[in-house]
Amino acid sequence: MSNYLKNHKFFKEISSDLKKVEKELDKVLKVNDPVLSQTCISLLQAGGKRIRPGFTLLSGKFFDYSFEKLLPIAVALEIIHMATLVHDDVVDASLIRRGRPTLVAGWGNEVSIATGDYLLAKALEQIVKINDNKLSAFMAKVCIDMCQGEIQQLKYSYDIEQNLKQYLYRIKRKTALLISLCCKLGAMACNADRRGIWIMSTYGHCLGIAFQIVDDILDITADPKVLGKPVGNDVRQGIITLPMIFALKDSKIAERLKELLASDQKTEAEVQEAVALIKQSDGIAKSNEIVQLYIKKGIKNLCELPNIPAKDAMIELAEFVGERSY
Amino acid sequence: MAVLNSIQSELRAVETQMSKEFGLKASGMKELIQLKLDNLDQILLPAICLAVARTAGPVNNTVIALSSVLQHIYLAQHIHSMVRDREMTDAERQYPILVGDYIFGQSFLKMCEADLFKYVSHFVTVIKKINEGIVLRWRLKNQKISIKDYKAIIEKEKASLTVLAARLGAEGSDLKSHHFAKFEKLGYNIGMAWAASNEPQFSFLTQEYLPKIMANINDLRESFSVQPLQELYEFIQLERGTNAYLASNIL
Repeated sequence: MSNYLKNHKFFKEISSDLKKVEKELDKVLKVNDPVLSQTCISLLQAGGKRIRPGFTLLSGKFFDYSFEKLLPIAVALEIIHMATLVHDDVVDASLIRRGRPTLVAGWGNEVSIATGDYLLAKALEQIVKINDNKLSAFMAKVCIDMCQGEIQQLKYSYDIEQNLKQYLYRIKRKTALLISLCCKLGAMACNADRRGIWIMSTYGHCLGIAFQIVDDILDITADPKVLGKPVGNDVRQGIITLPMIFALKDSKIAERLKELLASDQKTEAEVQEAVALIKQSDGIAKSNEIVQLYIKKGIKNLCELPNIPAKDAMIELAEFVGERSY
Repeated sequence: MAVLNSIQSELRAVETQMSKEFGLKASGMKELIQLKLDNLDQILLPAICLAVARTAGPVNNTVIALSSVLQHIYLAQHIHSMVRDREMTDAERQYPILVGDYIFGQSFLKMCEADLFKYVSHFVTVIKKINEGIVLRWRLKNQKISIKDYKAIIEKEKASLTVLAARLGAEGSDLKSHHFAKFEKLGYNIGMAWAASNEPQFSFLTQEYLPKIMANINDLRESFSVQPLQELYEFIQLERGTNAYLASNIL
């Protein structure tokens, strides 16, 4: 299990079940093909936060918790997440993730895409175990929406005219839908009523949005060693994020920043110049304010739920998302 | 004999389903990727599925939906295979990945919505096999590939799909399970011929598999109305321009 899980108390409530999820992931991703076996092992060894299975299990705690029902859902969702990361790395030509070389760096595009597709098949295999059309259709729809979000991100790269609404549309699809789905399915699988499902889904949505905005802030402000990848990636790739949208409104730097962000031929010095300009604006502070709004909204949603340890864990998890540095 | 005359309306039904489900909200697919598909790429898999089903009688909606899912999966893989280990522009690399994933998602949704859940494990197996084939081809890149290795590659990459197409046509039409193997053999030989015909270095192998296809059809003649399969065979020949050898000998 990743150090992440050992170090954070919000997973204490579900730590033994999360270990079983991890074991199941190990088992499911053991494959015969020598290359796919190596790529799958390297993905597992890269760890990851396992935040998505965590959300699913915690959500189930408020209802008729059944680990047996939740296990294939948690495993499927984490594998879908892994597959999208592998494909994202090909899309972004990313060479480092979580401080380690990506599959693209080690194996190239073809093997990486094949690994991602293989993982999607593995996720589908888990979904078959769930044997629930409705629940599975939700997963499929989110996968489709995630692709649409990514396609929109590419289409509007280097477009400095983007506004907050467009940004939120994009990150909802890119990140929030999957986290929201993790919470929703955790509740659904444990016989939650409509209100319960809605509460969980909304909590996941708020945290997902906050999670992505924090990701976008960290891409500007983080220590690359702590983050496990270089900073300024979004600037480099022309992805216009919330700190940039706010920074572009700062009249003192707007003109130069526009020039830098709109260029698809930036030098590394220009990337760092753009990062410095964004840092010196109030873009980061304003983005953090938005993060806190979503975190508060997410936590507020939970107030109707019973005061059980899982609720404290979800509140702590929300607070962590708002404060994380990696 | 008109080309695929027995399954024309069913092929149109599959095409209609496909075009409905392809609509990308973010943008039209054609705008994002330059997809080159020949006639076999476009209809062979649904045609196998539908022709097999047609041998037993009228084609039902389940088979039409299964044909559409199968074609979706093939397209997704085909689009993903446009991304290679060579210098590519960002757009050439990025959009095929996302559009391929989008189509995978659509096929999965279709399975849920059209109540095809009991067939999912077939699709899972085939997606795994295809990608094992892709990786095997990658492992042998820059080496002289033996015929044995080449067959192992195309068995996974393409024949797995055509085997499944035949199986789904039979299973979806509620044929008795003891018939499945014969149809799967037919699907296998079609897939091997199709794959080999696409690669000049190994296209001679097509001649090995075309007679086997006809033998499979003849084998089914006693129990089924094989006209749709004969039309399928003619279609393959027509598209591949390899009919001289067999048309007179076997048909």
